[in-house]
Order: sequence, then C-alpha cells, then structure tokens
Amino acid sequence: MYYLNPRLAADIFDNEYVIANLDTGLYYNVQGSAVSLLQALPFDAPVDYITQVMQANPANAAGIETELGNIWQQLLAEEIVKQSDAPVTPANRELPVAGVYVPSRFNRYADMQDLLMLDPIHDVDEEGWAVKQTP
Amino acid sequence: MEADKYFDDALQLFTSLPSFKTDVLLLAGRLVHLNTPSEALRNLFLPALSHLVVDKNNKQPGLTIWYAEGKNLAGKLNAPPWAEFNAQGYNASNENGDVRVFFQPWQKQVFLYSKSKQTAIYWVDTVSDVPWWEVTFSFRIIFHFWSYNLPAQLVHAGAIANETTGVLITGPSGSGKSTSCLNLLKAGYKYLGDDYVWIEFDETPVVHALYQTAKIEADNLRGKFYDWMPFIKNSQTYNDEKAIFDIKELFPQQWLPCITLKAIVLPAIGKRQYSSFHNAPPSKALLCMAPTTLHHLPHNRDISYKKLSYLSSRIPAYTWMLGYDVQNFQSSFHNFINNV
Repeated sequence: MYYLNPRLAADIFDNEYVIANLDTGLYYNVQGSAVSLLQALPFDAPVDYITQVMQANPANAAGIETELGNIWQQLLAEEIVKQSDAPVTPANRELPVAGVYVPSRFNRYADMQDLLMLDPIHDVDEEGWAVKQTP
Repeated sequence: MEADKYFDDALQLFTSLPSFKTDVLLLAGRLVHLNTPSEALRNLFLPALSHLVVDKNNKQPGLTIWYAEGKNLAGKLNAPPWAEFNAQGYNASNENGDVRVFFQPWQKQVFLYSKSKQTAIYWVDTVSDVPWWEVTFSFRIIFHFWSYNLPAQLVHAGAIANETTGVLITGPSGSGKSTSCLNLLKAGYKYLGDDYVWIEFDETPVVHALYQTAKIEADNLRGKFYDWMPFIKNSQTYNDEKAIFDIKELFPQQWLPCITLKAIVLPAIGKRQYSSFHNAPPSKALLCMAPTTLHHLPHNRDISYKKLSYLSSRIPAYTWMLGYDVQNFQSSFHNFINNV
C-alpha cells in the first residue's frame, strides 16, 4: 500500500498541495492533476490511477503517463509517499474518477533546508562551553 | 540530566540574586517582565523593545525573562549536556517536555523556556559573547517559545501601513523585503518592522510591532540610505556587521504599534523599470513565509506551520514585482494599498 507520509504537513490551497517536511526544512508543492493523485492515496498500485487518467484523456495519454510517472517517482524519492506491506482496506476501494487532465508540476524548495550538525569544530571548557579560538 | 532539572538549577541562580532591575513590556495586551542584574546586557537588549516598555504595575506577567552574564550569578551554569544540537540550536530530545532549549554549541549563550512556569532564561558568559544580531531581535527565540500556547506567531516579515490598512511584506532574505519596508518608511508610510513582527490571530489577524530596530547592510546603506548615516547605533562596527537604527527614534510620527492586516505582499526583485502587483495564490504566501520563518525557529514547528497556513488562507496575497524606477515603486504601492 502507498500512503502519504504522516510525518509531513500537507495542505491543499486552491487545488494545489503544499507539503512541508518540518524535520528537515524541505518544502514542496504539487500542482495540476497530480494533486488528485495524492488525494487518491492510499492505494496499492499507482499505475491503476495513472491508467485511469490516461483513459479519460486519450489524446494526451503518452504525455500524461510520462508526467505523472515522473512526479510519482519524485514523491517516492522524497518520501512524501511511502509504501508498506499492508494492503489498502477495503481491498475493493474505488479510486476517485479522473476528469480532464491538468498539466502537473512538482516543485522542491530546499533553500532553507536545515543544515544538520553544522557545528564549527570547537574545544570546550570544563563547564562544556565553547572555548574561543585565538586568532 | 533532564531538561526540567537543568532549567530549575539555572532558575535558582537567577531567583537567588540579591538585586536586579525589572523592565515591564506590554505586547498585544500581555505583560512581559525582563529581569536582569546586568546593566550592560540591559543596554544591549532593551533598545529593540523600548517601544513596549510600560510603567511597573502589580499585574502578573504572561512571561518572565531572566537574563544575565555568568559573572552576575553566584554559581556556574554548565553548557546544556545533551549532544546533537543542530545548526539551528535545536535538539529533538527536548521537543516534547515542558522545557525548551536553544543552544548552538559553538556559542557561549543559551536560551531556556518553561511552558508551565511561563518563565525564560537567557545566560551568556560575558557581554562580549553576545552575537551582534541578537540585539536586533532581542529574545526572539523566547518570544517564539512563548507563542506556543498563544493565538499568536512571530513571523519573519516586515509590516507597513497607511492610516487604515496594514500590509505584511515577507519573503526570504534577499527578496527585497527589508529594503522595500525601509524605502516605504522613507516615502512616508507607517512602520511596524522590517524583519520580525508579531501576529495576533484575532477575528482578523493583527500585526504588532515587536522590534523597533532596523538593520541595513553597509553597501545598501551607502547606496540607498546615505542620509541615515549619522544615526547608526553601531557606528564602529557596522561595516563588519550591519548598520543598526532605532526607527521609532528616527521616525516617531510614522511609528505604529499595531494594525489590522489586509494583505500579504511578496516582493520579487526583477530587472524591470516599473513595479507591479499581481494576485498570488495562498500557497505562494505560505511557501514564502514558512521556510524563512521556521528556519530560524526550529522548535514547535508543527504548531507554527499551522498558524502560518491559517494566516495564508485568511489574508489575500500579492506578488510585488519590483522595478528600479523609484517613483514608480512608490506609486505602485500607493495604488495598491489604497485599493486592497
């Protein structure tokens, strides 16, 4: 089963997903029909949903497959979507019906990503405070 | 050692002081007591908050801040004993208890806050160990800790107003936020801050001036604010730091303590002659405001993010494409704020 990582803050504004990883300072937004892909979670097979979108928009099926496929891979790589061995309950749950395809984008904002342990090397005194470096 | 015990041991050092000076602040209707035995630290930290100072009274404060240099206290305070503080002064092991700790291990200062006691501590080894920027947003992290249980949020933004309308100007460092605020101040608008402001989530969000200082990089100062040169507070050091100004002192008629917010403005520097405003989606306001605010405020991010998300959804946002024509810069804002 694929599911939205519950450790992330995710909000929809005007049909746009804003996702924040507050542990790392990474932010994302998802626009277009890929929002519906996220809203359809949890599901067992993303290909089912993407196929449904392609069938609803046959004139642009190849482009949709590429675009949504790429975004899906990015969602997995950034651990916005996670996978578990548990199946979706109920098993026969129907995915939302896909409508007119809206070109989709996935943006990643890492400008303010927390720098982990960016600790200038320093000595400490007996109380544990940093000892000033002499020039 | 538990954070609670570390806090209590530190607090004992302060409450056993034989004498100290108390300053009383009033922020958004809430009293804050600042207690210190150090005149030197008081001279550093109080100016940024001086507009909030009120006469002493017998009412209970919502927040008490004790601050001192090591030499003022009868006993030593050891550095926080927990490993793995990150660059933002955050240690996840302290996140769920009563006490919050902000500590950057290469500095000789620590900020502590007890939610249950509504009491904070700032300890620094000597006055020379105070980073210069701390005095431009005095006790920033403590105000952030305090806001956890309040319908309020510290936001990395400036705020400008006319007689009736307040505008939040936000964006990451380098977006033109601070320079835009100070240019609008020069153009005659009311000023509530250019770096950090305090938002109260009333029926309609209200912005409060938290700091009355502004800081300007030396090159920017010489290029755009040259006439302010005689009023630099840190005239000996501003080339290596930033020039610091007391805005309420410089522009008393344009100082404003609070106003209802009507818009969030997201400046963007562009290579264009004319400035223009464009509608922006709430998501853009959130993505401009949250990363830069929460980067420096690593504790309680989930709560703060929800507040910023709420603010983004309540107040309309606009992108302000900045041009280099100064007259048009001002007229575009004039048209905007009178019609928002």
